Amino acid sequence: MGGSYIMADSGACIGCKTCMAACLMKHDVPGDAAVARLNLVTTLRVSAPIACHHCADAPCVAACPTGALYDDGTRVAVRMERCIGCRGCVMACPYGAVNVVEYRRRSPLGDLTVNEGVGAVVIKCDLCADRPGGPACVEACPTKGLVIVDKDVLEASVKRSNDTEPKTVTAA
Amino acid sequence: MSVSIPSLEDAKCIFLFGYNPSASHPIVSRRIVRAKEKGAKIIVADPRVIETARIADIYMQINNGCNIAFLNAFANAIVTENLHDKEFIAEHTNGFDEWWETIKDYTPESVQHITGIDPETMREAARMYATAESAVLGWGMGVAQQKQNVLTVHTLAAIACITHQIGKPNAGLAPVRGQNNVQGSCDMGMLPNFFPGYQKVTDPAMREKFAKAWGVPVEKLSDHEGYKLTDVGHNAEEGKVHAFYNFGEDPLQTEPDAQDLKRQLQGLDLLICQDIFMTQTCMIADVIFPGTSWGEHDGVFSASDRTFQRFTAAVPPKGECKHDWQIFSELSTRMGYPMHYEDTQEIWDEMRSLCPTFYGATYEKMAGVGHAQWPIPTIEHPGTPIMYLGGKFTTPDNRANLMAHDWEPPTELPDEEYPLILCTVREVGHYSCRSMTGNCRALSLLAEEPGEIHIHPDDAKARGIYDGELVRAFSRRGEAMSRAVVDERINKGTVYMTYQWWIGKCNNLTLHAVDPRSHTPEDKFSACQVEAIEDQVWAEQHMQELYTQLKNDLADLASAQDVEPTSQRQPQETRESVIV
Repeated sequence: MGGSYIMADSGACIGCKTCMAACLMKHDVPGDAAVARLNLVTTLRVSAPIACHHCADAPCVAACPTGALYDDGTRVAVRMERCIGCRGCVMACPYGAVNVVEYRRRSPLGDLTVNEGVGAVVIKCDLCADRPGGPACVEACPTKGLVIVDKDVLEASVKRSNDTEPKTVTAA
Repeated sequence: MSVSIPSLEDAKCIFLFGYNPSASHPIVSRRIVRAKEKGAKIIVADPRVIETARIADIYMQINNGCNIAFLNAFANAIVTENLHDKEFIAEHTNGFDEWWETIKDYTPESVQHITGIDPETMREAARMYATAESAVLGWGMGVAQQKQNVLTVHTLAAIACITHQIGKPNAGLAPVRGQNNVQGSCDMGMLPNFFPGYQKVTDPAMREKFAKAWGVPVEKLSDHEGYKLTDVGHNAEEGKVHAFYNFGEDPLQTEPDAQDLKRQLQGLDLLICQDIFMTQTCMIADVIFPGTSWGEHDGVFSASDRTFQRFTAAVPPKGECKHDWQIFSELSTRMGYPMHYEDTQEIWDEMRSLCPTFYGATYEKMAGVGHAQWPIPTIEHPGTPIMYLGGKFTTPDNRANLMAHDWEPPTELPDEEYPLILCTVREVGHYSCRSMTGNCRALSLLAEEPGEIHIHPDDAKARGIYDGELVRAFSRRGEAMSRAVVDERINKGTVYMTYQWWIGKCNNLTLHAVDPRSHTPEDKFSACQVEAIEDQVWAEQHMQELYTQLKNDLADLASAQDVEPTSQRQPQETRESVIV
């Protein structure tokens, strides 16, 4: 159930934001918004970029009144043109991984770029679905601290958990 | 540094003192992560919970400005627990007894009120460092940009010497450079006291050698040390300096007390700026020489670890721009000393022939992705990744001289009026004065004006400051507007600003105090105050207005060199996301 998502290893993260720069540059093309889809979050002892978990039962999809956010069977995807900027998804996301930004709609016309006014658009990880090499952030991370959590990774994790003694016992 | 950067990965212990590699050298930071993965112990002493502190085996959040007190106590802990290498000390160092006379009084307990570090934690760290099979001691601007900077370096070096954590593989000292190719500038003699290759201008034999090679009478070469950059401002004001040739720097952004410096530089008879972008210093220049950027010229960089690396041009210069070496040659020729070189290799080969330490670093050796690490005295020499192997130091008697100093408090301590300590630092996305990275679209979209001021939650709360708000920071020198980031990783009573923002310019606030030896400014410690701005809507607008005005002023001046019709100044709308 659910698709894959990108997870960061806080032990490997050096807070360099190379993932954010790579993400921004991937999306810095006509018809898209040049904004990073993952954000570095720092607390006293943790540094890690946070990105969409592509939840199997995604609250952001449920909150979207126009179908701009939808589950395509493998991930939570975006139809930019449908976004009305209501920010219901921003409120619904438990990770703070969805954002709505002001967006200058532009389209190419021969060698020129035509401005079509300012709109709003939802910004979240799209797993670089149209990028042959996979997510740009994973490739760019200098410490290889980002992993794509897919079915195999999840199954291996479940197996590891089952094979080891429980670390804590929850009282009833 | 005495070690090579790749060797960090094989050290068994890395001790970082006042160095945040994640922000200033992410590639070094990556090597530290790898070292950790290979089992190295990591020790960090820093007033901030830097990224490396999170993976450290021992992290000590020291008080700002305590360096020598901390290190003396660290050395004291090593000797009191008998962890020093007596044989190495006897055979390869001088002055241990005298050194101990100063160190013996600095027990970890006696300076806890200065360092803020629990004595047992410090002793544990001292044990970890001293007993490691090989340990690298790394430091950065947290040492260099303090009042007692050179003295702190003496102390750090002594600690490596008494523990024999120098002079063997994967062990030694790793001071890093604050800027790309600062090592190269120093190697090539862009210092007021050296010819290329660290050959002293005060040495008559050196003057003789260079005068002969350059075909000039020896009297033409200065026999005394010149002024350092931080002396230019006040010397201009006192009438001792009349002209300033500023090459690839924006001191009005990067030097302390920037407003006063601007006033001083405006009093010069002649200010020449050689740069690749219009900067605030270029704006007040009498003459601007447009140079070429990386990618437009050939050359050699030196890394912090003494590694020469050659690079080649990808594209030719545009418009009126010329290579730096061509500008120097033409200027020299017009001033009466004809200078001509065909290419950078001719210059490099001349330099090699005059610098014995670099002689073996040929262009051939550096072809492709090759490199050469000095000292490399002969063509056959493989280079020197680790210096002082076997405890052989570069002093006349080949022994290290141990030096100890007493701690002194920083110059400007916080008081009632200016109760916060201002520390200026780097951030990962922007380099130096931001003239280059500010023109990079992706980087400027990730971090923009007016930059950030990091403030402890308690200090923010006391001032009614919320995360993300614009605030006013001010000191005895000046003020700046910045955006508050409430940060629990820093000491209470301190604020941190990065120094590349034009509107949020921390150097309007910093103190011009330099140490007597290196004349490096005390950028890590001055007193300031921060206050909330009630009208945030006005503040955001005002900040944008100031920024737009500055960008337009810079672009207007720069447009004078637009030579191709297509490169004329673009209409406002398409320029909005670029700086110049």
